[in-house]
Amino acid sequence: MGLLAIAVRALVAYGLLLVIVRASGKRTVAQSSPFDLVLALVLGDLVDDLLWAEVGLAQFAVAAGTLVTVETAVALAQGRWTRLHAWVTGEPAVLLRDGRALPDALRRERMRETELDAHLRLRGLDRDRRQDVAIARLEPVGTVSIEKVARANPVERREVFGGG
Amino acid sequence: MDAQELLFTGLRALLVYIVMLFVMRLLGKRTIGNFSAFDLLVALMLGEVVDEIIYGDVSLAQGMVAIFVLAAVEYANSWLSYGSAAANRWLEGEPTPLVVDGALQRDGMRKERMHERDVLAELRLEGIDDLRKVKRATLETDGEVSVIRQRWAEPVEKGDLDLEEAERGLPLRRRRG
Repeated sequence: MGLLAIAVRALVAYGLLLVIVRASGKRTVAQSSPFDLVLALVLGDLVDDLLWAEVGLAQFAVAAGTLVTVETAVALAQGRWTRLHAWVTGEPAVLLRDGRALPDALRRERMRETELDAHLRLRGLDRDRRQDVAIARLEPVGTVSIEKVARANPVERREVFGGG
Repeated sequence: MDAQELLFTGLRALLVYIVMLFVMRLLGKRTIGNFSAFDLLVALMLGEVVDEIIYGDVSLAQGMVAIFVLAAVEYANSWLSYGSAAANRWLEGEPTPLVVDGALQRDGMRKERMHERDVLAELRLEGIDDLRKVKRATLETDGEVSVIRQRWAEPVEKGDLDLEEAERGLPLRRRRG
């Protein structure tokens, strides 16, 4: 196979993917969830068969187009039906409340307390500051969000200078 | 390439989408979202398997077997590393201290092959310009660096000023509908 043909295919694949991804909006392939990451990987993998001419352009276009179309349709449907959103995207899991870890929730997410500590560290909180955490949630995207108790939140400018 | 084969390609892509969605939800939020470089590899493997299915290079049955075995092993892995501390250390690794009370931990850095410059870059990304402000910097098992400031280097908190606002707090509002 000619080198020029490979170059042309690479260009076409690049252009086609660009159009597909741009047309589908930012959130597709934005790595906003583990599933989106896998989808992005699959889209990338679809390209190499095209480059080596193992599949035709039409087949590549149909495969990539179908995936992105379905993803877009599911995203739109999730916007309409909260129940579907809960099922497809998942719901946040409360791991810690009022400074205390919730063993049942940790078990459901298969997370050890040492891993919870690591998540808190990544939010800048040492283990001995657990009591400053009102709620810690494992969000559907796989990271842990922290709501601190009021007294542990930063002072806002208006509290010193007024206004707001 | 006839129209029928293109139709099948589309249908296989649709089926793969549904199966992958199901698998990822079954594996849970932790998988790939965070906390082990290996989880990311599993995601890559799944992705590699899937495109052969879509193009029809392997049969549907072969593809599904491959996907479900990978998913099942990953699922078992997550329970094993949850159930046993030793398995957890083995499967997920342990956090490595990089800075303790403002002092670079050369042993940890060597073990993780991190240069002083890499550590300082991670601190800068957390907005820290001075090593002395760091109580603990740790390379976590997912490859991220966590940074805990010395208490005196943290922003002033409401509790420090005894503000009334602290009593009431400002909860996140939820939108209706």
